[in-house]
Amino acid sequence: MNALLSRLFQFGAIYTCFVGLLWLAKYGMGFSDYLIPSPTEFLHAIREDGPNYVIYSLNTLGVAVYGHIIAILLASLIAVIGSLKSTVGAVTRVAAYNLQAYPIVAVSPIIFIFLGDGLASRLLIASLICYFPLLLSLLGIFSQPVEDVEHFFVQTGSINHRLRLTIRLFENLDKLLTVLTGSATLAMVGTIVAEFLAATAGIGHAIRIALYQDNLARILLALLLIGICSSFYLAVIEILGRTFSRALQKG
Amino acid sequence: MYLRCDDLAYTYSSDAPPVFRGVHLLLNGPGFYALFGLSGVGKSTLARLLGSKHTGTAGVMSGNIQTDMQTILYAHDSERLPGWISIERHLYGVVPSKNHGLLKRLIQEYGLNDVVHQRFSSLSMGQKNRVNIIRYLLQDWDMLITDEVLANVDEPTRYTILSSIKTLFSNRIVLYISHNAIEVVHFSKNIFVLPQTLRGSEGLIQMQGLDQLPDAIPNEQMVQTRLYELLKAAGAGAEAA
Repeated sequence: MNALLSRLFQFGAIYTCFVGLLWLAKYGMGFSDYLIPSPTEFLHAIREDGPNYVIYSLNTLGVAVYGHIIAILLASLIAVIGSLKSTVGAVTRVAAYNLQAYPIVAVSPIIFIFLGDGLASRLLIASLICYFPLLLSLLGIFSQPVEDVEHFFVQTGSINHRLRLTIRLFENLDKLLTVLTGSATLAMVGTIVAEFLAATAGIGHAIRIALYQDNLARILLALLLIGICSSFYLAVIEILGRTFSRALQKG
Repeated sequence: MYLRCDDLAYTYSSDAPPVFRGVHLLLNGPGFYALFGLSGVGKSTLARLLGSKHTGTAGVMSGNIQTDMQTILYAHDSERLPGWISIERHLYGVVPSKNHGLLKRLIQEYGLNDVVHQRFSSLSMGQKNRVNIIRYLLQDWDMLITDEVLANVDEPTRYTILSSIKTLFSNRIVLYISHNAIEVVHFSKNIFVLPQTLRGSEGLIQMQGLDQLPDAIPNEQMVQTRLYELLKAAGAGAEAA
């Protein structure tokens, strides 16, 4: 619970500073309501569009969570294959390192052309954007020996691939949790980018419409809701990760 | 049952001075042997080579190691147990079932009864050392190289453990590496000293230990004499230089 409150507080502080600076600039330099909406207009947007935007944000959050889960499963599978000492493992590692250099956003038009502007495209882009950092971290964790723990099993000849990966995963739980939290942010970013580019649903789509309407009040509202959703998701991952880690440590 | 090294030398890279060279060693028949030397003379490196687990990718080895033994294990003091299960579950998982009776006995004798239900990370350093040595002792080995494995264990418990190793595993070879000269003198049948020199260790000095058994404590005068000889041998190279 503390993690959630802490995340919300951090975001709230940043958001308040950001909006405060905008209004400071507006009133300090005399910008019109057309360029930067007044507080009244912002409150009006919250009242009028708030309920719909909350639904859009939750829709985006749902897609991001599913995309993140797909990315975690895919990255785990590829990392396990990549950690093999065989040729297959080596080829997988090389392919993973080379492919990650390619920006997914540049590939996204192809995804939209083939899969259309529905859920599948949003899911795929969200997954791909958070998949590569996850994969690289997992490959790093899986390829780094934990000599102090593995030594006994190597000496007695009882080491196997599964045990080796379990040891390395357990010894790097904190690192993994940090990577999962970081990739969750990327999943949100990926989903919003996909929605902004071509999708027909979600808060990214709402931002695109607000942009065409030059309605900054709605964009500010969308940013507020995205921040709250992201904070909530990151806090949930942190709480789950810590609970899982503590359960493992205590048994 | 033997292990023999002829003119063994090791260096970490071809342009670096050797860690040691001209090492001749013969462990002939079961018993408690010791490898002694000051810090940094290459005891652990030599021990890893003897355990045949040194891949050699980080260095260059020359010379010969011959043995008729099937299983040589090398244990060191900074090892850890997997953290996701209790010590008891781990021990009963890795120790062959035929040794479970002995495992129970050693847990009792080494004073670990109260902590075996805990996780490894919650133990003191001495307890960690004791747990680690138990799991090695109860494997099927012909020779066990123990590199400072009791470094953090208190003196009386160490004597208990060493006595029990000598009694229970008298038909196998134990190569004990320690900085504790008194202990090495007391318990070892043969002591191999890696002398310290400025250009890496050269050769091994072999001397007799007192091969103490639990019920026969050697006299103090004899211990003092051997101890002096041992420490003199360890610094022999430096003295000569």
